[in-house]
Amino acid sequence: MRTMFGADVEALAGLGSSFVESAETLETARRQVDGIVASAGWVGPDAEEFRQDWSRRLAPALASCLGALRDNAEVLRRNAEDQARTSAADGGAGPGLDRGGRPGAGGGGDRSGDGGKDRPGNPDLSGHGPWVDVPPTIPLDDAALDPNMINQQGLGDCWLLAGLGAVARDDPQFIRDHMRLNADGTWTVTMYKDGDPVEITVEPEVAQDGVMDPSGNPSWASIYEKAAAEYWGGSYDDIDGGYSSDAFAAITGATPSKTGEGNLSDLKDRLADGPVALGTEDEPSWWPFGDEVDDSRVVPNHAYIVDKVEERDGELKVHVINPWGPGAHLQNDGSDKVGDMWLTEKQYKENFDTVYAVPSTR
Amino acid sequence: MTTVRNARQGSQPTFGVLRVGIMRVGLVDGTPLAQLALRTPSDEAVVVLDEGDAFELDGVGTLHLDEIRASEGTVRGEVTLRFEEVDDAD
Repeated sequence: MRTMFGADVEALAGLGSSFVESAETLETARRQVDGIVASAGWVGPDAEEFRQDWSRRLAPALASCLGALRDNAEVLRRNAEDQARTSAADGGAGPGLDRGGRPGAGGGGDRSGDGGKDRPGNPDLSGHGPWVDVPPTIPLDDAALDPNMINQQGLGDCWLLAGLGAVARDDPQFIRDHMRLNADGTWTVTMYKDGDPVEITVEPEVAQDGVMDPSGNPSWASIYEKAAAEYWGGSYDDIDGGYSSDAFAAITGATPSKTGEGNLSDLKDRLADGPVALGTEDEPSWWPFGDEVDDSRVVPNHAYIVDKVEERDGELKVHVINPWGPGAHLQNDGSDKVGDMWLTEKQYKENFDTVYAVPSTR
Repeated sequence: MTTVRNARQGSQPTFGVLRVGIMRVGLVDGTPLAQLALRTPSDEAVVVLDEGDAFELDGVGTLHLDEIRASEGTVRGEVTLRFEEVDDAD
């Protein structure tokens, strides 16, 4: 009897969508319970203990479960795509896949398939071109490596740029030590695969739609982004959507962690140990005409760099930086509308669901 | 000059000095809407637009939201933007 290997593409894609829907249902439930726990008319030491247990143990456990559902949805999607390609290559009818099950720009998934190596020539632009020449010299001083100098454009690689920005913020010398301008004008970026260094050499031209500095010029991040596109498959599309934990592993070679949002005290401790990035949640519904203007500044399905956690106005707050880059105009609290913001613990918990961290390289 | 771009939620396509952050793209009571962060060197605004809406930025140009592709239960949609740059000769 012949043994068949492979998969029903539609079934895989459908299962992936089910995982995403289940994650969203669980997220809605988590938010509802969060609100009930916070607002329940119950005071006293027992109430405080219950709320702390919810906040420190139960809610993060649910968030981890959500993350696992989304991770596996992406694994299913990629397996379905691989099967479709295989079927098409074998002369089968490879159906076009609806990418509705894809977590999106803030979430990606398993990138271990064909990643982690240098490839000849340029990565495929995937519609993000044309090519823009990289100047002969790129500033690599601490000011240039400030995460506020990162200006994401049309690629959905916030996860990568948040990881890069967090590492650069923590240890700019690490970035300088992992980029080398060669005599022929190419750049070699040292990334990591399973903890082992992998040198990726790129031509001095980058996608026009890729990350730039605030003036719209290619920067160190542009070179790293191109190296990442080669590393993860040879196309700029290969870095469209992902997790900052994958970015941390590939950039530093260390083992990253991915957990629920916890509280700001926990976040402060994590930041003391090394780079930290945050992931925001999808929103199953949206009402843009409410009064909570502050909450609407945080972008869903997105990744942010954690810059500081400190006391301000008598409470612990977190300062996050959007890889979209700062704006030119400040708001009353000293932050821009979307480029960077100070958030209270309540705002932080309402908007973020995942903390990505990696040991410092210092 | 007119430029047309497709963009997914979470990305930030750029038209010259104008950065357009695609914050949310979803259905609100069945109507597809997009929340965009419009930022230039001199100004910034967070706006919510219907399909077909246009937003004029003084001295920079006009941004048209030509198409919204949104789904129920998520704000991870996509948009088609068309930007008409101000003609200095006018």
